[in-house]
Amino acid sequence: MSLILPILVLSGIGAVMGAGLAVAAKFLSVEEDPRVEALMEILPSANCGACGYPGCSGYAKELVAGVDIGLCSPGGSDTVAKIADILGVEAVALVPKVALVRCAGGRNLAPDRSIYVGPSSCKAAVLVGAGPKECRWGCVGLGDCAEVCEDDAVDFTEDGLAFVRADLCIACARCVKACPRDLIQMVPADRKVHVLCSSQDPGKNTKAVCQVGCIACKLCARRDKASFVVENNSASVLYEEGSKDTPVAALVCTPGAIWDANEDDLVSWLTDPARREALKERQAELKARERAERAAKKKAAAAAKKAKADKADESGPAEPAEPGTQKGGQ
Amino acid sequence: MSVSFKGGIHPDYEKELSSGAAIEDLPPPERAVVHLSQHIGAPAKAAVKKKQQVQKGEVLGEAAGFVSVPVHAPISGKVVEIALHLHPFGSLQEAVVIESDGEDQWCELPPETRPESLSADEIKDRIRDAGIVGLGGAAFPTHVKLSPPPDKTIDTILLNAAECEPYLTADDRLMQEEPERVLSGFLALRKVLGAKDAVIGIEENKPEAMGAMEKAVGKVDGVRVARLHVKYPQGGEKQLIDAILGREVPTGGLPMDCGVVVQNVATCAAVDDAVRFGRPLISRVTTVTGQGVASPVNLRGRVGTPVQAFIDAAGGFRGNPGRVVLGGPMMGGAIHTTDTPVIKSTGGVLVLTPEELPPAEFDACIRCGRCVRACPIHLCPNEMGNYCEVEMWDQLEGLNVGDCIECGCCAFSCPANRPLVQFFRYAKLWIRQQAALAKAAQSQDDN
Amino acid sequence: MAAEDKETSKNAGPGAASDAGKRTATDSPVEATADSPEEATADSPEEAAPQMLTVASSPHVRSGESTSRIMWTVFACLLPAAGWSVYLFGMKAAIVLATCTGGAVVIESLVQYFTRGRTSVQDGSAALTGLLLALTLPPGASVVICLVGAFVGVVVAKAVFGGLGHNPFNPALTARVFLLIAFPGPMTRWPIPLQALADKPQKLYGQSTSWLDAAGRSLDFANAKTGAALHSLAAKVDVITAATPLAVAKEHWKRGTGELTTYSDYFVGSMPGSLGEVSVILLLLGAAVLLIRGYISWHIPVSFLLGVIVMAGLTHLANPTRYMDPIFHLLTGGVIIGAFFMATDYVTSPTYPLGMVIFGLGCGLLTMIIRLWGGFPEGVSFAILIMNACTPIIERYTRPTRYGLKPWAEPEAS
Repeated sequence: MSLILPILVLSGIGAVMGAGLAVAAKFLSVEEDPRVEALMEILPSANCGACGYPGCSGYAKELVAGVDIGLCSPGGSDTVAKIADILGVEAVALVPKVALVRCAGGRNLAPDRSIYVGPSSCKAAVLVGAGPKECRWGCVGLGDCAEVCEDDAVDFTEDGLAFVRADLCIACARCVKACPRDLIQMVPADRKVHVLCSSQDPGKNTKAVCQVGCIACKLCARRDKASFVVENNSASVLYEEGSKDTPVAALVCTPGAIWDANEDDLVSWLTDPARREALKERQAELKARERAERAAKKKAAAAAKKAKADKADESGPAEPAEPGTQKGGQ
Repeated sequence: MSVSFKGGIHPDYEKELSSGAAIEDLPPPERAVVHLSQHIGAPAKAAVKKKQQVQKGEVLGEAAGFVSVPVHAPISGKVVEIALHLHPFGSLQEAVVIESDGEDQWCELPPETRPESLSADEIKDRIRDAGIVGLGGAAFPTHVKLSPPPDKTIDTILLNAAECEPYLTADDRLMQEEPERVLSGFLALRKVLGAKDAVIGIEENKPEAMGAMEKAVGKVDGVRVARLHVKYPQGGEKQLIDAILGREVPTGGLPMDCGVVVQNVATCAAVDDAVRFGRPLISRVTTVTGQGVASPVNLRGRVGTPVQAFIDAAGGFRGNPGRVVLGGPMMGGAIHTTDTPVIKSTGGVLVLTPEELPPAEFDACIRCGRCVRACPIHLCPNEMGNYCEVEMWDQLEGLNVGDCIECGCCAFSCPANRPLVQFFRYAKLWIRQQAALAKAAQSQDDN
Repeated sequence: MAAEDKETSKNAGPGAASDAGKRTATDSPVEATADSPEEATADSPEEAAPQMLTVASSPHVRSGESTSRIMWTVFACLLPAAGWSVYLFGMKAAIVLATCTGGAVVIESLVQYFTRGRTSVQDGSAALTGLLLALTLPPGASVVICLVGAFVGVVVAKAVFGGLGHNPFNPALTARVFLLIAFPGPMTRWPIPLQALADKPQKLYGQSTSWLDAAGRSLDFANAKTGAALHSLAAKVDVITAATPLAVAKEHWKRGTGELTTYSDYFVGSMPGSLGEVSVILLLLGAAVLLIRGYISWHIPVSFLLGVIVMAGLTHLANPTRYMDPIFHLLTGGVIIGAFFMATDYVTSPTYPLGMVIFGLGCGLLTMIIRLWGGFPEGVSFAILIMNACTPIIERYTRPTRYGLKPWAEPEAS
């Protein structure tokens, strides 16, 4: 008997409380759009913030309110299609992106000028006399980007240069914000040719501090005006519409700061010392071939003129060399 | 009887290394790299062209705005380049490079005048035209300090002769050797401001300088010498005002907000040159010291001279240099190479040996409270440091990181060797960036 | 192929270093470059290769104080009291001291080894935790109890929270309280400091103290007339236990029975008690060194003692027969070791002066409340732990007033 009473009392209390909760849940519940839950299901739950909203739930709520549905880069086009389906709007094509560290100057090519002592963080290091790296634009290599990357996509070469493994990158863009030198850029994943230098110093200064720094010689832009632009002493790929991969740009780049993913794997491109030697040879080869072509053309034109057969030749930049012949130079 | 402030630390001063060395002239350099940005505010605008011949004292760069001062040629010779060069702060900045013609010839200067014969405005113009900035380290244009808004009355001018940074003896030597010059400049500044009182604050560890200044002051009306307790950062503007006058500079304000202007010893000497002879600021006394140099000295060197020349004049390195610091050990900045040219605010070249350097590693805060007791602004460096380390910015609110004067007392006293000053500099940068972002967002909303 | 690359580069890059946290200052690649110029200059004094300078944020000098120096100094300041306890209680005390201190150090090393954290066991914090714990234990505590205590102190109270600097509660006291609750029997069995008494047999006859009576009743103790006899008696018996003066006082209060030890006994430690609470004078000696060297500030100890004195004084004045006087409360139990060595633990006490005073007063008042009206005869441990829990909130509201808020009235223009 003495055991039964407490059991009954406690059960009674439990029942009353439970009933109270049930009533509260019924009458005090907050109306929520069922689509939000559906959206939460299909969003990748990375909570990366790439969309600019606080987490996937934040984005889901805003989606219902009608923001751009193409902001979830980790989800990619599939997710966008599903979002569009749930919301009953038209799907937009989402260009998959990856992060790219726009610096190729590891410690071997762009040396440090002093030994930094202090917290192992790029942000902290650049506060001390503008950083230990001679190049004031280049990768400090202390890994603030790797710190924020939850997918281990940021890695380092032996010379302390950060690079992003495209296969692991989910395009959350956290590293972009983490880099105190703004070296990391989100680029379309299908693009192959990239300029890996962010230095805005005059060519002379850049050359003094880095062997692979862009010296703003504009050779790339001369080859393809629509894809390359040289501003503030710094070449960059435009990546927008009308722009395309121009493999020859990687070949003509004087310091070799342009990477062609079709030619080289990023790691070997960054670290293989033979590459730079090979590049010089290939550049010389290309130069010779183009000179020969120009001469031939001139000759032909002169011959044509002499023959008074046709009007003048079409002037302008020489056509890019065909990929096939390039391979031959390797 | 000496006065002081609450907080602070007692580092090893090591002043005896160079305090006995009389000021010597460092020969003008063969090649001077004169930065156009030598002061707080807008950098000067280049006023010369490449290949132009310049005389010593000629304007190389003109002031670009009110908070800006001109820059002058420290040597006579030819401008060979106007390009980006390594600045003592570590970045590349625009500089005018002059190759010496060996003449070291002054340009045309106004005739010698007695400061008493000039009006306040004339004195101020001369100070600005001479490119004078605060030589204590911050390099704030002096004429700006001399132009308080009309609603502010300045009743007191202080001469900051504390020289509380360890190692440095430049001001000490200057006061011992040329007290009249320092006093004359100080009085000229007082005249500009119309300040009733003038106080010279000297730390007790400089009895000779104090004696010399007391003798020079003599019976000048309204000027007195105040003995200061030996403590770092006694020469911090805010601490000096607190110690001598018992006033506090309002948070976020300037000394003029509590009726005070503070000027440094070297600045006063430069002011005297400018007012009396019309000479621009092209040289200053710099202490070259530390266990890492052979024979510490006090040198009067030209702006734009490479640091290496100073070190050579001090007998070169002794052993392996571990770190070269421009300024004192508490607030000076380490430089990457000794090719760096000096600027107007370089009051010291300190060479530390590798053995003297603090350890590289740091540990977690053990909350011992030494930093709290040391902070002369009475902040909470322990809490601030912990939040900065893990970038919990929202927690920093209410801790007033912005008030930190980066004196280094907290980091100096930290047993866990935490780089607190570096943390706070980063936090301040972050706060500035956030403010800029907020401003940008605001203006976008307005449009 | 990509995987292969990853492996090689991961080993060298800072990515590997960042695994160990952001604590280390320079990464291995930087250090590698740091070595080379020095070697170069060592070989050729003419310096063929340019020397690389180091850069760091100001300030470029330090006070030379270090965490380990502080810890080992506090450790050293406790050694006289620890030594005295060995003298009083013999080998048993030595075993407790050695087991706790050694155990704490070994356990901390193991934790740091297995968590791959930075090895910081040499900073002395674990040794100090172990020693402090030992000083709060009864001299006869078994090795198992000591090791469990060391484990709780080092792992549960400290490592779990992130190691030194992150623990909210004093590790030694957490361990002690754990042991007190887990092993209530052994933890309240207080041996009589026989060895000390044996040197002064007249003491036995000069004063009749309650615990001695108890001891005498249980053995034919009072009949041993000479020191030698007492010594041999002490050698014969494993342990003679009795209540601590505080427990006696509590009994006294409850039932009006039992007589108490004299003040001089408390001072030199001729009374039953834990290892560290038996000698007030040696503890004060250690504390004086810490105060003079600035390792602890006066705020917490003084306000702690003040709290005890005020509470004890008021109750004693109100009812002198029922409540003991303040001096008794100051000298007995763990007040002295608590006020000077436990409450002043940097990590778990406030850092601002006003906060320290509040913390100390709180400790003192709570100690007395527990002693006078609580279930336990001694309340220092609980009082300090409770105040440890309050530290963050105390800290939040006692921050110093920053410079620059003092108003300045502009003088009237004359």
